Amino acid sequence: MNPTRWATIEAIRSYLPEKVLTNADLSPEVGWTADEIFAKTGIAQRHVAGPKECVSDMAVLAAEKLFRECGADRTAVQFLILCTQTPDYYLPATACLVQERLGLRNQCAAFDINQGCSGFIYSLGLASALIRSGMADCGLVITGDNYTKFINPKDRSVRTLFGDAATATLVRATDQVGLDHFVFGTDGTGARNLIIPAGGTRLPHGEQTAQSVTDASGNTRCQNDLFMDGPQIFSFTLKRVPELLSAVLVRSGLEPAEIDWFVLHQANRYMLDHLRQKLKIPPEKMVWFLDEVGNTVSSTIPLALEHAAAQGQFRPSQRLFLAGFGVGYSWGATLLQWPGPAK
Amino acid sequence: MNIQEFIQAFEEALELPAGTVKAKTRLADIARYDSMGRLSIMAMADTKLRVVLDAGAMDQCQTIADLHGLIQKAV
Repeated sequence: MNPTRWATIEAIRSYLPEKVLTNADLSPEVGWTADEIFAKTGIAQRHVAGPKECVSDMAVLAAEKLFRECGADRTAVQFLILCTQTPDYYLPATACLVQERLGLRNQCAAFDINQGCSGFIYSLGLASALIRSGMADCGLVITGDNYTKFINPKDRSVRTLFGDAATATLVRATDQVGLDHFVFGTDGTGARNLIIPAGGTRLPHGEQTAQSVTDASGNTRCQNDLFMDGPQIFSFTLKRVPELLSAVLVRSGLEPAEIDWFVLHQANRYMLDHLRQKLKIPPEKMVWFLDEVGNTVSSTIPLALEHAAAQGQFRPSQRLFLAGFGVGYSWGATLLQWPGPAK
Repeated sequence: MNIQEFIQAFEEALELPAGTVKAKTRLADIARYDSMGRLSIMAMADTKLRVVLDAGAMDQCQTIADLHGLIQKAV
């Protein structure tokens, strides 16, 4: 790894589907008032992809916005990493479809990675490795998910949380310190706690998998639907996220007070606020962007970065701790030294 | 944390009036001990006792006393 060459984030743009599901819309269906939904989740609304709107559609719109607004040259893109857990097809990779629709060069490497909450960090890690090794100078990291297509309308445990989105991040080589001190982790014993059980080769769709069951909490789902065990996920985050922060601090030799901003995966307000207190993060250093978009899986961190950057929150050379954690279980974190003037 | 202290902390975490639950109260009979309620109890145990409760073990608890016992084992 070249010690004087880093990868950095040059620009981020996002796409949110047109349809908005507010708490008032959800209230009659889930049996909680709009205020109760907000109190439980910290989410006021979430965007929902159209019936025929796929991840490649959302990805293209996010990336075209990036090219249009930031003056990025699409012919300079040497790799496209597309992070999604709801691809257009089993095969080919959704990244290949997006390469064609964006008119990226045929010499561009394009591939999907299947990660969720930790996906943006994994994608940045791969992008950083490609750049720091000298294999590439410039690439796109795209995140996109349509979890709402897999949520049972009568499962309020997940219906109130998740929204759809896509983001496009331009990652480029720099001789200034950029992305560094990546830490990753996995614990597959948590796999069944956030899962769509049927539809893959392990359990294909069938009559049995479409049978709905109502659990003790009154939530209804079948095996074709998304299932999440909230308390298990919370227990996992309480154990792993503090370890994640410690690992990055050890690798970087920094003290917590030397981190300027903390950008955590925006899963739900209650959990994040508890983590903030547990990690002793001053409230003014915590970046939030959840109430308008919900939990958008691999897009939560880039959406939060885009929103905060647009508000002028970050100054060049400030240190940002980015951490994603969840489905898998999978987790990852990195430090980002914020680059020069925002695009 | 003795059982009375735990009951007080449990009631505060779930915003229940003091005296709502007893050691023998069945968790299934407490409406607020839903998915969100369990998060509140986990957060309480983490904050007050620095204990991360296993959600699966919590699901095995039938009563307030069982939950208190789980926390005591974890401390």
